Amino acid sequence: MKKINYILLSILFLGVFSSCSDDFIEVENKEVLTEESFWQTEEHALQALTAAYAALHSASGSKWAFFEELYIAMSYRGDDIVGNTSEIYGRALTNFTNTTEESGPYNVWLASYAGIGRANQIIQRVPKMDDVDAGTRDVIVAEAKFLRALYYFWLVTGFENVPLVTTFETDPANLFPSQSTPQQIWAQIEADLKDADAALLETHEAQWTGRATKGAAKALLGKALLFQEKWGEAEVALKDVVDSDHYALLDNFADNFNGNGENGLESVFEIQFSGDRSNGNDERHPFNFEVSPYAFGGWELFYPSEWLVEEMQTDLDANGNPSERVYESIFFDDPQSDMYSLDGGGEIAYPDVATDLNHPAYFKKYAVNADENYYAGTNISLIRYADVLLMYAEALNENGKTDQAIIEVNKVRERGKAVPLATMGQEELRNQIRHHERPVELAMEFGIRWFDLYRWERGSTARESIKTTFQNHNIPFVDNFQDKHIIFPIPLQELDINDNLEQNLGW
Amino acid sequence: MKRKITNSLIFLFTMLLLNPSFVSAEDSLLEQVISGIVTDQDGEPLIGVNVVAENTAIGTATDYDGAFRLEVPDGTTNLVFTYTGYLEQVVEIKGQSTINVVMRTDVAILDEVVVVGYGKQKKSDITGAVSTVNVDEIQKIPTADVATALQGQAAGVNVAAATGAPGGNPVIRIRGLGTIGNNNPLFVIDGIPGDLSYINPADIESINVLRDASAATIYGARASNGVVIVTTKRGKTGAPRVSLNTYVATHSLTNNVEMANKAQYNQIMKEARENGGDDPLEYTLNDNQYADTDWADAYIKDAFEQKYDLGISGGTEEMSYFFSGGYFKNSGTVINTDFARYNARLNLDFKLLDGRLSIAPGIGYTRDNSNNIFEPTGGGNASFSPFLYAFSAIPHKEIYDVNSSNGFAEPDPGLGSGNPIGERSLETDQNQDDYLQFNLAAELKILEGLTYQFQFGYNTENTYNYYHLPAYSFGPQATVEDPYISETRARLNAWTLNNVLNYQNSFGEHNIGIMGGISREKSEFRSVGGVNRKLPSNSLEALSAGIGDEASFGFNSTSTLQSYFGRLNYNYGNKYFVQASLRRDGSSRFAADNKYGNFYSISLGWGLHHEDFFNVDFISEFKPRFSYGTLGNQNIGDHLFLARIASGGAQLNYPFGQEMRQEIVVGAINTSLPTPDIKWEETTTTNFGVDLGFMDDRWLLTFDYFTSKTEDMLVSVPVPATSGITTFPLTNGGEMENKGWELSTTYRQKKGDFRFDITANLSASKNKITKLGFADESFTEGYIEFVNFPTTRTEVGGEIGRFYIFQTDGIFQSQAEVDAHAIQPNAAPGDLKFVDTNSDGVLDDDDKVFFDSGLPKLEYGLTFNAYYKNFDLTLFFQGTQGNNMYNGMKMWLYRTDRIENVSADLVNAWSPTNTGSSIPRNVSTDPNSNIRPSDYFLEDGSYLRLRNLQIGYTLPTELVNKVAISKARIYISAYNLLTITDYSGFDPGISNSGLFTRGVDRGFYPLTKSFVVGINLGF
Repeated sequence: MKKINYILLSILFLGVFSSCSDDFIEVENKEVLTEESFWQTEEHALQALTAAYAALHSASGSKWAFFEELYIAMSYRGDDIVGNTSEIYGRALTNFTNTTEESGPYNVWLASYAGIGRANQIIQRVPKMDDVDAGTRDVIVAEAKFLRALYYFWLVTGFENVPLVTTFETDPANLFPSQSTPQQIWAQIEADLKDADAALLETHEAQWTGRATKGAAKALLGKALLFQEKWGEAEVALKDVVDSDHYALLDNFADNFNGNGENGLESVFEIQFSGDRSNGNDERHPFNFEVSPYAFGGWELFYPSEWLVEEMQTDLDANGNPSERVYESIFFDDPQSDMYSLDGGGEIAYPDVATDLNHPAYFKKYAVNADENYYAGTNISLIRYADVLLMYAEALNENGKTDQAIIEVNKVRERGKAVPLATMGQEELRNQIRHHERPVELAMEFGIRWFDLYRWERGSTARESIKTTFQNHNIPFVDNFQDKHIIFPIPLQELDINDNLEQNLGW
Repeated sequence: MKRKITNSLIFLFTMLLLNPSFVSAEDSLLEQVISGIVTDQDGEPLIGVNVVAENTAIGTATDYDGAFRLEVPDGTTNLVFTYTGYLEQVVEIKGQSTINVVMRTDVAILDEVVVVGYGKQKKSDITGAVSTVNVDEIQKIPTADVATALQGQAAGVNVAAATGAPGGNPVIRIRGLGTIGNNNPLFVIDGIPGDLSYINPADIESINVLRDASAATIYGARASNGVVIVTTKRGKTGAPRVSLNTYVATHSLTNNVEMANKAQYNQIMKEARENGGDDPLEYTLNDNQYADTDWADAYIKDAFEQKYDLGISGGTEEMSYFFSGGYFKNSGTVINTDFARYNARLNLDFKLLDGRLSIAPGIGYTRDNSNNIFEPTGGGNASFSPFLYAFSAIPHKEIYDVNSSNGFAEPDPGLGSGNPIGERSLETDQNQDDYLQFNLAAELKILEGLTYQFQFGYNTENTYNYYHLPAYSFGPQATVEDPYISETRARLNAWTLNNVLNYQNSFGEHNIGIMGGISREKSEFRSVGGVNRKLPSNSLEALSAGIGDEASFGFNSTSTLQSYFGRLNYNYGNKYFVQASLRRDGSSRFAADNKYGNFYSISLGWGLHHEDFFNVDFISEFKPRFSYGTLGNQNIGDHLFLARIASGGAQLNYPFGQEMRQEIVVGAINTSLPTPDIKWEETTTTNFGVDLGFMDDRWLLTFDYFTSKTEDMLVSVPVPATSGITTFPLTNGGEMENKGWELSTTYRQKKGDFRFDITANLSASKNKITKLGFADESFTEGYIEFVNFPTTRTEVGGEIGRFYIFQTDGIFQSQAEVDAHAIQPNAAPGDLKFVDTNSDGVLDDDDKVFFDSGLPKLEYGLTFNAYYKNFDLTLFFQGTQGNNMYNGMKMWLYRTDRIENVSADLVNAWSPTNTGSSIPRNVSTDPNSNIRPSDYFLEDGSYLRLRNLQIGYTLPTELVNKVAISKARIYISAYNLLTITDYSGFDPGISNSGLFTRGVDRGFYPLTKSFVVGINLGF
């Protein structure tokens, strides 16, 4: 009996303890890609670049974050837009009652720095990827620099006082930057755009349409220079775009917003969207619903302001009717005005639906989409050629070349079937550009109007206070507007985790 | 005197275990007849006491007079008497033909054998903080969920419902919060880590909770949040015994949130729009137009609940069995929700090699079927509670429309979108989950005192989710264009293998126990899912029928754990106790250099009452205890130490191409920080405790005080967005302290036919963060409106999840008051007045102040049982004290800047003619931001709840015996009958499952009140 026990015991010990090795707790990773195998091939470099572009849709890439956060934060504050007072989206921002933790500005911050972080990784890693052709590497790095500049442009014009981060850091000690001055940010933007310009392609092969081009870099540089009132340099940069053979105004104004002119002649740089839903992808945006009236199955989250509708009605064609660009921009109380109905699928005239409408006027841009898959796959323009021409005109005018400026403005007007401007003085043209041409041509477009108001507020050439403009344009909630509202607060969410940041004045 | 008896019983019991005499029943002749009566200490006959001739399968049970008659084989020396709740009695026959036995109740509980890690210990030997849950009490709670039943039943075990939805899992915390990472305790079921939520409460034999390091170190790896050890019932020797327990119950929601009806809404909205300078809403102008729907009422229904549990057990000395089958169904108090469960369990025990080898296989199966409701519990985006959605639908809309294809009404144009009843009814969100537990345990007595224990457990969890939406249109913002289908299946296979050697012996007064073992665990998770965005018909329910865009997805991850452990127990004369434990764990979740963590503990106890010099008659037990030790936590995802490249998904993909519908290109890049050096989180705990017994243990009291310190907490550390990362890295980021105390006490008394017992337990804990993140970053959480309006902040120097909000000082009564308070330029009379707490003349973020978190300062449970003749009564109270609740639902229902329905309270909002109101004015623009997070919406969430009131009646034995029933008890019960609280929201007992969002009420599914009728039958 005893013997058996000992044998049993020995077997047990052998069985139990001989099997123990650390192999058991080495488990192979079968689920995620790791650094070890990445940053090797051209495909990897392009995947990284794609990710850097993806932040244009927001840090999370969600269509909701794109509209409800980025677009609202970048556009709702302008005098061209009023929010639907039944909806809470962007309510506090448009009322100028937002707190420092408002999610819209925070999402602009998140998206911009997500994009910058990805661009920084590319700028650091891609030049060292020996298996990738040097020319390809240069183009990819140039695009990363273009994107970095674009994201910094969003930041500096939104928040002004932001940290300048140009490397992707993994050491926790380096993750808590302080703010740089706006001048430093602008310098970085200019430097990046000039570097990008040097290496960017004029056009991409069909498969890669939508990536940044030389023209995009020049146009953004021109815009950045405009914001700094470097009128001379701006004129040069924008002239380069105008003189290049790559761009033209589309014959049909509406094609800029319905998908037909997507990545076309007028497109300088667009945020790409697609109705492709294969493999679980979703890269659409919901603008078609957001602008459309309830009566057309839309959500009508925002409208053209009363001032904009009135101003637009002064933009006349040769017959004294509102111009084509007006009819294609807004749906308003006019017998000729019509709009696409999501419900019916056709164009419905204003008088036929007037009594069912919840609001006097609506935006039409992006209401109808050639690439519609419930939501829209139409690109959202960041810089289109008409904007370039108007910016160029503005630079020319500030440089004293008013007559030349009028020619550029008239190109845009004529395409929109508005009668050309007659000769006018510098100041008159300035006013015309600021409070007619730009808002009428570019109404509600992503990040345009508010930031125009912002640059004229901050500028020294014929400075205009936003508050005054709002008062002149009868913008609701103007009473709530204080100087602090000229820029976003530094998001509280970020301040809370980075002691080195200081809140913007007044917030 | 009493002590002596118990000690000799322990001795007898131990002898029995260790020195079985090898008498086999088959060899013997039935010769001797023994009869007698078994009574309790008070002389009451005990019915159904198990009487067995030792080492044989021959046995019987006492009848209703407590009498038994048993023919025993010649040579049988002892009779063994066992009865639940009483100590086992072994009586020497010595040729007697009549043996009357007095069973001693397990009053002291002290000599109960407690299941601890990898073994059992006598309660009296324990030097750590171990709570033994009274399983009888938890089985009185009408629920299919063990954790729900645990609430208020044991000191230091804090259970709070995260939601009241049927089948919803509550939040279980042992000793409050010990980390800002994962706080879930480890559940060990029959020796194998498993999922408690699948276990039928009716199958449970015992629950012990290991709270301090001394007790839990042996599970070092995952023990820092406490260990809950559950054993299921096993067969007992004797003829088959059948039990049938069943109840039916009705559940109803107490809706204390009154919404405005149409006329009230019209009045409120007209006022709000006028105050805000907005045009009145068209549909509010005529009270006689439109419907006047009570959406809340239509959303809620009374539920019916039923539970049936059948148990059969019995066996011989060589083999015993326990079988159970159960069915549970709750039909849900919200339309289109329900939960049903099927359970079966078979536990077998074989004794071989003359009893030296025991083999105990067990198999348990559970199936859960549920119709789910989404609830935005946890952190992050506040999303939108379905309750809120239903409650805030405007009364003007119709619910039903007989002419529509699905029976529900599309709102009139102009009334906005949405039909919450239609949407809830048409959505199918079903789960069918299976859980299979297979256990095999074996124990071999190798030498005297030396045993080898083998345990193998294999658990499989299969979950299946089916989600379907038919096409419908309830207005532009509530439209499903095409029928949609999604199916997801996931499988978790987890096995555990334990090999343990145990040595136990006594040398005179020296009692020694040594245990050593090795364990391996592996857990593999695979899942697969598919989506099709268009089905050709609403009635099709197969992915293969889909004709739209499709997507598939799946996960694959594996983790392993390899552990070595040992424990040493020593006591001298049952007076001086020492225990030391050691565990070394290796985990696949850490890189090579950090795989192993070592954990240890030491504990001491002193049986003071055994000392000769101690002779206080009043005090029957006095045992101070002390323990100190370390515990670990590795409750994180797999392979986080690798530098991961994120790829794909909406976040990183982006379209390129010339076509109008561009192709979508995959993006990939680093979106987080590599954390190659992550290692074990470690908690050091010190525990002081004392066990006291008074008046011959009629009154028992246990008190524990603990402090713990957690280092290298495994948390997702917030990193500034400027870094470019979008996924916070999970790393060892922080330190915290937790301290608290627990008190549990029981008093029993008997007088004639009347006896009662009263048990109370209290626990308190308080935590404090001492280090956080890379640079003491604070954590902001508790969002109320999507990702706006955070309400909590966690930072160094304070507890987890404190509310951090503005402070209010009433309502502005006049323009003069507004003018005098320059910091709120947009305010008008009727708006909330916020306090410039730092007196700097501006109202900004720096004026937010901290308020205590949603974690209760004190939690308690109180159980009172009384028995008189055949009647029994149970009262169970449970409550919390000192926890704040942020009433997010109230914020939503008080805001008039939308057009959704609002609380009926707002008819009494402040107005120039109603200046006494405590409700700010109705104003559609809310220029003062009255809805911003402030103490206006912060409420005291303390409550006292009568959780269970039960009255039972046991039918006279004479009566039921006539129909072959040995025991029949009927009872009625009221569950959650009464709640005393100042909280104005649905339910103060709903805590939110998120760590940083505790007490953030986003309008969750409230708990229900129920009335129960049940019957317990024994055959």
